[in-house]
Amino acid sequence: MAAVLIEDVSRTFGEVIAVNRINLKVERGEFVTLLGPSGCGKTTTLRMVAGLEQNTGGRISIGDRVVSDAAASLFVPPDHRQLGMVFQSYAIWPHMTVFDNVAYPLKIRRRPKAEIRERVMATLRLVEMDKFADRPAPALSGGQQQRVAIARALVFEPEVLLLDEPLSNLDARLRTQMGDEFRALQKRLGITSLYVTHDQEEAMALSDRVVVMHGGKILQIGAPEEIYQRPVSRTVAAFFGSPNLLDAKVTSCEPEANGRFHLKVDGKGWQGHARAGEKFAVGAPVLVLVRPENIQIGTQASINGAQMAWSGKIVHSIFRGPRTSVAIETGGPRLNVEAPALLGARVGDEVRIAVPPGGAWAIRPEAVN
Amino acid sequence: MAVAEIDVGRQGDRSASRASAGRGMFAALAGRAIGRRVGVTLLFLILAFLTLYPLSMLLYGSLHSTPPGMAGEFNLQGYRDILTAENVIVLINTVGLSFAKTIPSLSLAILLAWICARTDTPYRGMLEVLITLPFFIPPILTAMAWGMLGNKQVGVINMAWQWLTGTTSAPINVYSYGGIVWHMMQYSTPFLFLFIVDSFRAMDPSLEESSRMCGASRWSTFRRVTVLLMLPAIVSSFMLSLIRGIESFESPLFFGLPAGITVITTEIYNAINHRATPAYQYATALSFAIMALMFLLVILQWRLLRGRTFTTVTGKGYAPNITKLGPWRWVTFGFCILFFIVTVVLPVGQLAVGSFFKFFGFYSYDMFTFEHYVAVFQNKDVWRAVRNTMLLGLAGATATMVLGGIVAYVTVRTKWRGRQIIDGLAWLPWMMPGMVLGVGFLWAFAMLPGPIPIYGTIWALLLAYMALGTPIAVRVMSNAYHQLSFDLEECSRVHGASWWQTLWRILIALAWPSFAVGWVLTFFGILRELSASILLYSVGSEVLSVTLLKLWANGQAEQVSVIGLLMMLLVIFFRWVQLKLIKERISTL
Repeated sequence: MAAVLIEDVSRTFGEVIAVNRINLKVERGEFVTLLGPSGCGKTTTLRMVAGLEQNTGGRISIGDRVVSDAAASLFVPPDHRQLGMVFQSYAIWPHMTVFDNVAYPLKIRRRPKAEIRERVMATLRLVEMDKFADRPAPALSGGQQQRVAIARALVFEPEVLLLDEPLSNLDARLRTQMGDEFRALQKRLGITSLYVTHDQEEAMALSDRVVVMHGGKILQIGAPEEIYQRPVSRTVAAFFGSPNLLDAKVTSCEPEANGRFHLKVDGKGWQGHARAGEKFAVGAPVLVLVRPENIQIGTQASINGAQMAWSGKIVHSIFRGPRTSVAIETGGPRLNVEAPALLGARVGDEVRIAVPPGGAWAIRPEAVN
Repeated sequence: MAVAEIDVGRQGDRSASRASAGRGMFAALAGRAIGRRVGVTLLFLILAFLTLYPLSMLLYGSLHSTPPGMAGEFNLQGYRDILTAENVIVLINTVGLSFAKTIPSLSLAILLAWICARTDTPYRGMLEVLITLPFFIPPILTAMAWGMLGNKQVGVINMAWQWLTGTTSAPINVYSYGGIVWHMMQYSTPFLFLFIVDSFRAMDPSLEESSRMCGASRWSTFRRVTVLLMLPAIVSSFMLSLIRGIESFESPLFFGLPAGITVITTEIYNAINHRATPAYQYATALSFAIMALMFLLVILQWRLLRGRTFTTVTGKGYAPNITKLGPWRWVTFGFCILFFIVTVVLPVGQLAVGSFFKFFGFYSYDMFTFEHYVAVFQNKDVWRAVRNTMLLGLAGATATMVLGGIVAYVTVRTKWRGRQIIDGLAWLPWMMPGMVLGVGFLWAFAMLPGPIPIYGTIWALLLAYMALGTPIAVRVMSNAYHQLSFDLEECSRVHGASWWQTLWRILIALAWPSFAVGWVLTFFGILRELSASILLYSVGSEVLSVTLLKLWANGQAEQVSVIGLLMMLLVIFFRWVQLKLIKERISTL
């Protein structure tokens, strides 16, 4: 039984379709992230689950209860959905102390005083904020407000925890730290979490599954690795990093044991192998996706005989610390490569590059969405 | 303007979902849609009774030849009567005086605002409190004080002049055009100062710094960046001041009428109170004419004010550029103190001095007396007026703020149908001078069916004060709501609180300091109100301002001084409470 079930859900604002008939099932204890650019409908989706926004089509269930069904005009208000939510702005009430903020969901539910005290302090300990219980809320730093917001969302053990870009207001260092801490906490407590972000690294680092959204639709749902290595379309592929997309034609297509396909492809002045998630006809055009960090780079002598290999000249180089991003002009395609920093790649160097077996993934060129 | 845009931009992709936040939030109430519709209708009826009803009665009065309840006919005689050569002069007086006071007041206000917000003048915080104080003093008090100070025969200023120069000439005569302008400026300048100082302070210093980095000199930056950024605020305060100048009643009443200078408000007053038979049709037609003038100005002002509302809110957290004045800072300090002395110390001092001497104008040891205090404290009419004023102040301010809080909530925080109409109705009194609203209510109450005896009671004043105060109450409360993000309410809903619980525990808990500040402001408004009160009071329901005017008319300037002094104490006390509240509560949010 799913913790959150979204069936054929839509939301329109007048003429604008913010969310277009999406389907999603979040399992109990699972951490699912809605990922997409601004205006893709991810926040609207989260708000519909929360009950802050009413879906204009479809049905939403939490646990075994239908909370919203557009066809049946059923709508359970947010306060009856038993959810916890962390807002992007944290929404820490400035007129209350840390303790009062966290105690709020329990006070509203009229729990006995002793129980409130105990549970609030236990939750504050969980996020390491128990020392700040009596602080007025405005006197907290961003990271501390974040912890209070999480404590408040967890304190009454909600069925589902909703998080709306909770890390986006923190600086980069704190963002990583808070993200890791939260993921550890989520695993330990086994809370079902629905998380919204536009940051692909955050999504991959935290989630069990990632839902990529664009233009109000879901493009792909899958584990972070799957989304990253085996995208279904160019849009999904382009959302992570700056991949190389090479035009090619299929020369053969063989099924593999795992349900995928093994292709031989012929590009402009190169041949090679690629894997694909669907069957292609011989002669069909494909886009071959090669991640910059999957390309080997070396001198003429060190890389030899590989099939997808090019010789070229470095035309652009940016030192990034752990690695160096270079652009290489070959006779055919221009390729972005993430080279080890130790290589000391310089503009003008002649290099040879190659894609190792398994480093290429083929998708339909028209699947632009 | 730039500040507002940046702030909007930051919200980015949320704007679409935010725009519908209210609807989402209140979708929860969908089941209670009927209750909501009843609520909106009730609100509409209350506001319509306070604004539309007197307005339509005004129209009726201007078209009907006799007062309500008397046989008469519908005609255009009232409008024909107002088209006279004298009234052209009245119109020129009204608009001309308003311009004449707006331009110097605005210049002075800009200078003072600059001194307080952008220079290193010592004790700026204290200066700000002192400079704004005259705004909270009822104009009727300063008018009476200046009437004594600038009196041609026995005024202190002229006596001092004669003592200094040894001549017998009297250079100052407040009963003149100059006197009207001088008095108007005294409360107009602090009002404009309050309006402008925040935009000076809210200016993001990086806007000016980047101009300096682009190679512009300090003066060039001031001219090309600072002034242009301030322009919307300056232009809209100009319009606001102009409108208030046209509505002004006290100054032309005290200083204009004795000199034979009439403006529209005093002309209406004269037509009703000072003619053998009150010319009601003429007065209502004239009221309608002034409304038309105001309407044009308000439309213009409204367009100018639009979009400016948010700039002041985003101002928080900036430390504006401070100009170091060096030794000149003591000059600016002295200038501010001088302003305070002229606008507060002189008139209040005059009241204090006047209250202790037997006859106003004769200040010698043997004239020293407490008898006026005794007389005032033994005067039952005065006590009744105090009671009425306090009752109306407390009840009126509370009722107005509650109404304003609800109206602002409906218009700012919800997407309910009909909220624009409610917003519009609540704004309507903004373009009705107190005098006009008074005339309208006079008719409105007279036309009410028998079982509702509002006419001539204290309720008449209460309703008029509510109508007059509502626009400000709505403005204060909508500013307060604007500052609270929707997240704070939504977060409460998601964590299990119902709509009512959220309203009480989050919204009201956070907005009450603004409510209190608005309450004090409304209370001041009621305390100082004269133009509507003078038309709507009757025996038994006098308020302090009316009693003061009556005593003044009877030549009892000494007792006026006593009451005025007591009112000043009240003003200072409430202003102190208000400042304390702003400092402690609002700045922490």
